[in-house]
Amino acid sequence: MLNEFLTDLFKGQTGKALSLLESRPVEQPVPPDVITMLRLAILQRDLNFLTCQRLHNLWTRWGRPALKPNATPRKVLLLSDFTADNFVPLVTLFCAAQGVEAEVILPGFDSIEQTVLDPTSSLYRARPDIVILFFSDHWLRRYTGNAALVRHSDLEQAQETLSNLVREIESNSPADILVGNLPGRAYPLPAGTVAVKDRMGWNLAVTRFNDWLARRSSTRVHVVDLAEAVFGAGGRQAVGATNFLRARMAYETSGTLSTARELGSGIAHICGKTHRALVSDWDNTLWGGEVAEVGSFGVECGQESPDALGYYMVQEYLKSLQPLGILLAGISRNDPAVSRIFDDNPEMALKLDDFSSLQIGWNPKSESVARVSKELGFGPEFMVFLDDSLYEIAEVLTSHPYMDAVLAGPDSQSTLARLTRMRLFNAVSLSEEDLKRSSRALKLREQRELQSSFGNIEDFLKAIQVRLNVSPLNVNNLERVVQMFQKTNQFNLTTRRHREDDLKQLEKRGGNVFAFSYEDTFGSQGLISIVNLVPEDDAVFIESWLMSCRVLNRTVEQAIFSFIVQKAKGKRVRGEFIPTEKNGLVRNLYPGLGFRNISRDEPTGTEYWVYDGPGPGSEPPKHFTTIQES
Amino acid sequence: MSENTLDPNQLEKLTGIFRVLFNAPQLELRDNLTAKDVAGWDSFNHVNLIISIEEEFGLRFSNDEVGSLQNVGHLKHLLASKLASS
Repeated sequence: MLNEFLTDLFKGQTGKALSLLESRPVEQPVPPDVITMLRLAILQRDLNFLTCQRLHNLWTRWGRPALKPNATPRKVLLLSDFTADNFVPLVTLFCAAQGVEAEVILPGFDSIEQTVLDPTSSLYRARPDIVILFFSDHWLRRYTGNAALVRHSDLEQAQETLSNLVREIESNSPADILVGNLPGRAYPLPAGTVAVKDRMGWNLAVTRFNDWLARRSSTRVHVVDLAEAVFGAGGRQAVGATNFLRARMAYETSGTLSTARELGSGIAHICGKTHRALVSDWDNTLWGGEVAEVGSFGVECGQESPDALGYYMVQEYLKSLQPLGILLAGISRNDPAVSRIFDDNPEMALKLDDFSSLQIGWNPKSESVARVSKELGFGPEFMVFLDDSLYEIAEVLTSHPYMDAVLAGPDSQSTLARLTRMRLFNAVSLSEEDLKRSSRALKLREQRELQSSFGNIEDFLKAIQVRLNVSPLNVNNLERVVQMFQKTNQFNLTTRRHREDDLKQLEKRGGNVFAFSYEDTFGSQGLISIVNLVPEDDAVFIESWLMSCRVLNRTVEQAIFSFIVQKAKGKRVRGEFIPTEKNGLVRNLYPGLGFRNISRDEPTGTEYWVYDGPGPGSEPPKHFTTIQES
Repeated sequence: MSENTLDPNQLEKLTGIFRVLFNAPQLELRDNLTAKDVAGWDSFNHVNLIISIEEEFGLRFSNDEVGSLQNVGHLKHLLASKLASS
């Protein structure tokens, strides 16, 4: 039944899919495939109000089972200035699909202000874990009036009131507070962006209000982007017009559904129920075509065609998730050699390094997912699976019923739309853990773990067998060398943004460009450092030295320095440090390597350093790296 | 088909909306059925009912029509005449 259900669901035939589930007799305990079907159906966008109601009925008929393991029970209280009754079942449903067992309470219709300021009100009596404050533009207009231009002082008064309300909740209740920001109006006012002395247009006022609100967030106060939710639901069409007249609702149904989803994912987020990894298929998901068939350069991805550009944007989207701590895993039923595509084809937005886990082989994808889970250290319920094959999705979900899934294809634009609109990676705040959980951080952690099993760093570095390969500038590395000159900010002694011509000129004047690539037992890191050496009468001058931070603390810089000393053939080595806003990391590099300071240039702050060679008290720095020149 | 009668498909669709909205899988739409006969059919859910009918049938009731509905027979009649004229 799962296969048939998924086919209907992902083809947009939600009604047909739900009929399958409705015809199934209820059993207890609820079978895992029913849980999967209910959850995936709820997660689909573009459900209308009646379909959500139908899903709510179905979920209730099955006894409201938890749709994710270890569901977190939370009492959620909604406070709004409009009729929000429809939010109760919807928020409950959207929370359930994300692993939060929410008891949603809507206190009787009082104003927000009355409810919050009365210490005996239902707000405090209910002892909620989470309080949601969300408003319509009518709330703000109570403070700003109805004129097309809003007084600064009135906007400030609204902000101060909201601040006081939040403070009041904070001091009378331990609840987390989610505050919704404001979307635009159903009926636009003219002169929206006008700013004169003490007044401004409505749109400007809303922008300022939302901006102020975002800065009000703290460990207990989070802002939910309802403006984005309404924009995503069609913008003005989603803001309450008919529904406002009929029942004082702030949104039309599309807007209600979208904002309820946004609130649900905000709640899930503060309960730690967020997706932490995207597990993606490769062929026809990240690019068009099959690498094994058409080769690294034959696939569709890049700027050449609309579909290729779409695939490039899919890759860009996956990459854009990294700062949120979302890890990326690659699963492909293929010969492992196809991974070369990321090195071969420069049109890829993603690089092999962007994947924290790779499972390229011929085994079933459900097994690969289990391996990804083991490598990343969390369960499939925290992962989203992206694949263009319904068969593969069904195969994976049969073994991992709590994993979420998105169907890719049939073209890149559909993938992009489906993946982004589901907002599976939504966040209202980022924890330290989220921020640390990037691909690089994880790899380093793995290495640190390995490191801790050794007595000291020396043993560890010996064990991972770091090898540097040095090449002069050549046709193979030219593009990446130039790119690194443009991009490297932190470990960059002089930040000279050389391009091809500059480097060739430097070589003509007798200088050398050395490009270092890195490899250890964990694999290759590719090009990681560049050094430009220019011979002078009595010294060798380090004209540029930049290095990728990802290989720091592995004595790589010491190894490169020993290479420089060797190239100096007994002459002194001269270096410069030109400080920028970003290269504080290397301020102490030269003194650490045994250089002595000659002078400092004011006002640029440029420092001149010289290394006289190893002598008593200045041993050459130790390293555990082999260097091979090619 | 008379101008003011729903055809069987339309009636089935309307019945489906009621059954889902009020979570009453066996509900039949007798003409004399009124809000007080159906659990959950309050003034607020009446608005949801109208919205759902509008969405499912792709039409719009005027705000006057929404207020003036007396029973299901009246609703069927109104819906049928709207469908006939659209």
